[in-house]
Parts: sequence; structure tokens; C-alpha cells
Amino acid sequence: MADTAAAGQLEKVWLASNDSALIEVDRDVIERSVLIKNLLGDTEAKSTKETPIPIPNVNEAVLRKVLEWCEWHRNDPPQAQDEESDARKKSTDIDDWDQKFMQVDQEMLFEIILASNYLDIKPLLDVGCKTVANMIKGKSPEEIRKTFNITNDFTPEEEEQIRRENEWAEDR
Amino acid sequence: MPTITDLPCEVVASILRNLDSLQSLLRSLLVCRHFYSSMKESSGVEATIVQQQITPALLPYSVAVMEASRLPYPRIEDSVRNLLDTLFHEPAQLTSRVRTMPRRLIGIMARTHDVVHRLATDFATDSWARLSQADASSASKSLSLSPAEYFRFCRALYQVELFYSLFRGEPGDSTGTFEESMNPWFFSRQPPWENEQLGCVQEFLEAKLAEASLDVVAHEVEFGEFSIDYLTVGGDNHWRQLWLAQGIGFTYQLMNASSYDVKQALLTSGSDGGRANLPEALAGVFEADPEDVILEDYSEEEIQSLVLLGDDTDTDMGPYESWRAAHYDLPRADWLMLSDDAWLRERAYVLWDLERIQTHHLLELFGGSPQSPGPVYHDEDLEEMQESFDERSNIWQRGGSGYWSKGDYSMIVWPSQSEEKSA
Repeated sequence: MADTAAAGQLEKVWLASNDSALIEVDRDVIERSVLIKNLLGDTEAKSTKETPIPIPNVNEAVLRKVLEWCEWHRNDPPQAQDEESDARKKSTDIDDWDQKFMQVDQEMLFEIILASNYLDIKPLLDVGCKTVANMIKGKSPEEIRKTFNITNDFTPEEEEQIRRENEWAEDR
Repeated sequence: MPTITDLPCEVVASILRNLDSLQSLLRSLLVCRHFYSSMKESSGVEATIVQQQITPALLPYSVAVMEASRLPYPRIEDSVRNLLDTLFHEPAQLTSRVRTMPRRLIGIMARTHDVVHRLATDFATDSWARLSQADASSASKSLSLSPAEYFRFCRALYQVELFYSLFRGEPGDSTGTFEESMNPWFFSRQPPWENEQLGCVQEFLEAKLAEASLDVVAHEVEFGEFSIDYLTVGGDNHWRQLWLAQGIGFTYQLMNASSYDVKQALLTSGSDGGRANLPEALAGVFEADPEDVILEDYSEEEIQSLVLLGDDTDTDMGPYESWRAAHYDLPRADWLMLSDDAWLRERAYVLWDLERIQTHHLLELFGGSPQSPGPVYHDEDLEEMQESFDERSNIWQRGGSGYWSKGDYSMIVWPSQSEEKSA
């Protein structure tokens, strides 16, 4: 978890959000993003205040929120790439800090998910997906639509067709 | 301002993968086109959900049950043995098959697991209530199963289902396919206390089936004509064993059937199924020892060789200690399904963790004198059952059917009435 003891000696990286905010961050914190890590690894040039790394898809508020997550998880061990073990993690397994972190409005929740997807921060994306899945569980289609303000764009015939296609999943 | 429908398909698919059941998935697919197409464009969503639903250690048993039910009739010995070899020696191989399994089978696996989960929870709750009420133990009433205990209850249910799936004969086969020569394939691979766990579960299921079927079996005229026994317990009650052999899903359906007619229809359909007799198979696992050496006189090496047969994923010594406390003065032939131990099996004595056993001083109870021994019915009950067979057979022979009750014929349907009804 977060350990800022040696932060003063760490290499810094400058990021520019899509609303032109400049944010300075420890390199090991932003390297939770596989996209940035690869970028920093591939290039000789250093990111400075004058030549920040542009993050074109993410605004300042969301970027700061994502960096808050990266800061807290800066010392987490790398995630296993084993798909099997990954698949077996229960969706309810969200640790307390992450659960609190995800207590945001829906707009911010989806912004975080989109940003983590763009920046390739898989553990954060997982937490976001689990949070949304938990909001869906146990709800009827209509309740899900209401929760997320979704319009039903199926015709009754299409709905019936989907039910028929997915009879294998029904509780009989 | 992004909404959920602005998320790319692969992200929506990741959300769907984190759902807790296939029913949740189906409800999500009906929300909007974006959810539906996200699922369509991604593979393995349903497999991931099932893998999360069924705990990793249980997954090989779940797949084995599914594969067993798909083996063609007549069963070929090699395919049965291969499946059991894979389950016991290379369980990961079975687990990996989930990813390529057709959706229909994944749906069946999920439903079977749901039944396993509910029955395991019911059995644990019932047996713990028995331990806390009647016995001189300090067991408290509330029960929260440890993960190891939950696994043990579920595994025993899966193994019972596996036995039935593998060794149920073809419909009409009067014997079933299990023979004592098959012990090394199935029972002899596990220590006696794990086989006794199957006995506990089997008797729990039998009690549930007996309770759920009693009204129909004791009153339906047609069932009286066939002298269907509603009193005898265990392997000698062939009708009950036939219905149990239709699998845990059948028993669960019967337990939850909403009416007499639904139960009657289920029991009638089950009467045409293939046979298997688990209590008989379990009773035949150990041959009698001519020397009659009792467990207490076995050497540590001999005991250790039994312990080593245990499942690597369950190393808690609770089941072994409980079994040992109940059998220390008995020879091998009495190590399994002893009728005097029915009260212990009712209390799931070989399914609890050592910590729980020690906390509640259960070993003293398990090693002590039997509680409520003997049959649960009396000679006059048997006589009454026989009389009901005679009466019901008489009615059946005269063309009557329907619900019979001693001294009450008001619900018997006679041919003229049936004709009137159909007219």
C-alpha cells in the first residue's frame, strides 16, 4: 500500500490532462498505467513541465482521482496474468479502501472506468467493473434501466427472441 | 457526461463477467442492444460467471458430474474409469474444459451447483440444529460454516450426484451398473471418513425424499397397488433408492413441488428411471476382516496410509478424528454406514472442522453411546402399511384410482366418474 517515505528521491513525471492542467507525479505511481509505463520505457526524452505527457482522453478531476488510486496502490505486487486465477476472483472481492474510493456519482464512476481502460490500469478497471456489476446484481431489466437511465431500444419481438436464445441460462 | 452505454463493448463484457449468476446475465442482456451486443462480441462471459459461482476446489467435481451425465449408455468401463482418474489425479484438466463447454451445459452446471449449494446449506443447518438441541454439547444455535466445511458439504453432495450419474442403469435396468469390483475406481480412493460423508448426505437426501413423497406414496391408490414401501429406511427400500438415483435435482424438485399432483407426476416419471443403490454400494466397500482387528489396534503406519488417501484440498483433521472416535473399537467391516451410527450421520459428524469439534467438545459426544437407536417405525406401522397396500390394490383392481385414506373413500375416482370427467 501507499508508502511515501522515499518519495522525495523518486523520478517525477509531468502529465497534461485534456483540459490543460499540468500534474506532477512520481514515476512509479503513474507506472501503474501500462500505457504510460511503455511510453516512458520507449522514449529517451524525459517528461518535464515543458514537455508533459498528454492524456487527451482524461480531464483533470478524473486524472487526479485515478492518480489517487495509483498512489494508494503504488506498491501492490504486479497482477498475475493467469487468466484462470483472474476469472475466479469473486466480484464481491473489492477491498474496503477501493469500495470507498468507488463511492462516487455515476458520471465519475464511468469516467474512471474509461480512463483506466485508456491508460491500461487493469486492476482499477476490474474494481470499476465489479462495482458496476454489483449495482446490476439481483435487478430486473427494468430496474437496471432505471438505475443507469437507459432507454429500452428492443422491440417486444426482439426481447422474446433474446429470451428464447438464452433459455439455457434460465432458472428452471 | 458518460453513461454506461458509452462504455466500449469489451468493458461492458467485463462488467457482465463479474455478475453472480447466469440469471443476472440473462436479465442484463434484456436491458438494451448495447449490453446484448457486448455479450455477443465477447467469448466466455458465461464460463467466467460459472467459474466465479462455483469455488475453484469444487469446479472439477462439477465438471465431472456434467461429463458423467453425458457418457453414452451402456456405460463403457474405460470411459467411467478415465473420468474418475482425471478427477482424482488431474482435476485441473477438468476445470480447463469449462472454457470450451457449450452454453447449454454451462447452464446445467450452474443449476446443479445452485441445488448443491442449497442442499448443503440445509443439511448443515439441520444437523447443527440437532447438535445444539438434543445433545449434551455446548454447541450454539447459530451456524456459520467455515470455507472448508462449506467445501466438504458441497463436495459430498457432488460425489453423491457423481455416483448416480455414473452408475445409474439405463431406464428399465433392474440392477444399476455399480459392482463391488468398481470400489477401487470410486470409494477405495478416499479414506473411510470421506465415504462416510457420502453416507451422511445420502441419508439426509433420503429423509428429505421420504418426507416430500410420504403423502403420495402412502395414499395414492396406484402406489399401493405396487406395494411401494414408505417406512423402510436405507438400501432395502428399492423404490426410494430408485427415486434418489434420479439425482439431487430430482429430489430437490420433489422437496419443492407445490402440490400433491405435481409430486405424484414427478414420482411417476421417476419410476421409469435407471436404478442405483448408494447405501448398498457403501455398505460393500469394506470386506470383512477374518482377524476382526479393531481400529484401535491398527498401527500408526496403517492409519497414516488411510489419511494419505484424503483430498489434498481438505487437510483438516476434524472428519478423521470424529470418525475415529466413533469407530475406535470396531473392525473394518463396521467402518462405514453402520446402522447404529445413523444418529451420527444425521448430525453430519464427519463434516465439521476440528476447531468446531474441539470448541464444542463434540468428540466426547461422537465417541459416546448411541442416541435414539433403532428403527423409526414399529411393527404396527408395518402392519398398517401392508393393510393399506391390500386395500389400495383391491380398489385398483376394481378400476379405482386417486387418493385413498383409511376409512375414507371420498376421493377415490371410479371409472364412471373418470368417463364423466373426460366427457
